[in-house]
Amino acid sequence: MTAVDPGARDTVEKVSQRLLKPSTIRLVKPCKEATMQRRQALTSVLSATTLAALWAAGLLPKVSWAAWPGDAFEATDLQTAEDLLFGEVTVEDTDQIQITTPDIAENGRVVPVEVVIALPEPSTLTLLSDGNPSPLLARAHFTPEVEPRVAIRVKLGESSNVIALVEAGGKLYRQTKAVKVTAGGCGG
Amino acid sequence: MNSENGKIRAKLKDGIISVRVLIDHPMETGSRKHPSTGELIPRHFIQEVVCEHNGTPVMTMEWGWGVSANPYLAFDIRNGAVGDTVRVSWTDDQQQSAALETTIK
Repeated sequence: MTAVDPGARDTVEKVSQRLLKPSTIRLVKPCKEATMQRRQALTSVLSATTLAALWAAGLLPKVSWAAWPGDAFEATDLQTAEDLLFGEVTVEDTDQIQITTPDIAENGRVVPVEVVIALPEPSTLTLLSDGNPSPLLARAHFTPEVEPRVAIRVKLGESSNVIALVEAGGKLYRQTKAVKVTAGGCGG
Repeated sequence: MNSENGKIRAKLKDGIISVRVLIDHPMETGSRKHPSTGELIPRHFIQEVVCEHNGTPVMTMEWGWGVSANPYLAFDIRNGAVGDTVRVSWTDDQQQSAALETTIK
């Protein structure tokens, strides 16, 4: 670790003398950083090849993980979650989506939410909360074989709006419903 | 039908099958602390849900940890008839899968 400068042709004595001076620290630092970068690069290459090998060996489950929008679920604010799912699409508020929840939820850990969609041919429903640490709650992908209605129970961390976004006919529609929560459903 | 994975009920009325499902799953957010040790309980939640009518997927869902513990789900299937099968299956973030199935009487 001490022989840091390859260009230096100093004697051992001179090097050790210089090591005692604070200025020599500068010589050591860039070397350390380079090693770190190389290590990180190596690790990422290794993990990528390991995953590829596992995939080839059929050891990874053949579930369409790409379908589960991890980035959007991890998003910590509403706007980011919406942008990740829909991009820069204009949203139209509508009363063609009906959200039924209790006005006051005594237990935020279990808040019943029912969404009934009157819009023609809805393809997806996205449920969000503007008061949760992770706003995205759930998504549904409909086929014409089901009624556009879903009932589910969600956690609400605080009094907030439950937001339903529905894709129908290439457009995005929104309805919101305020829920007052008297005991939060996150953490604790 | 009851099983260790939960409960499924399906009722046929006027050609519509009303399905109600209760799934046994902790749906841990990852931000909850263990009541006695105070340690964070790791996140553990259902990611994907597939609803099938006679073996054909009719609705799929993606869930996060904001769905309540022991999740409840209700939905309606069109063009139902006696003898039809309804199956709801799910996979969680630990890649554990399970399913509930019933037949319309």
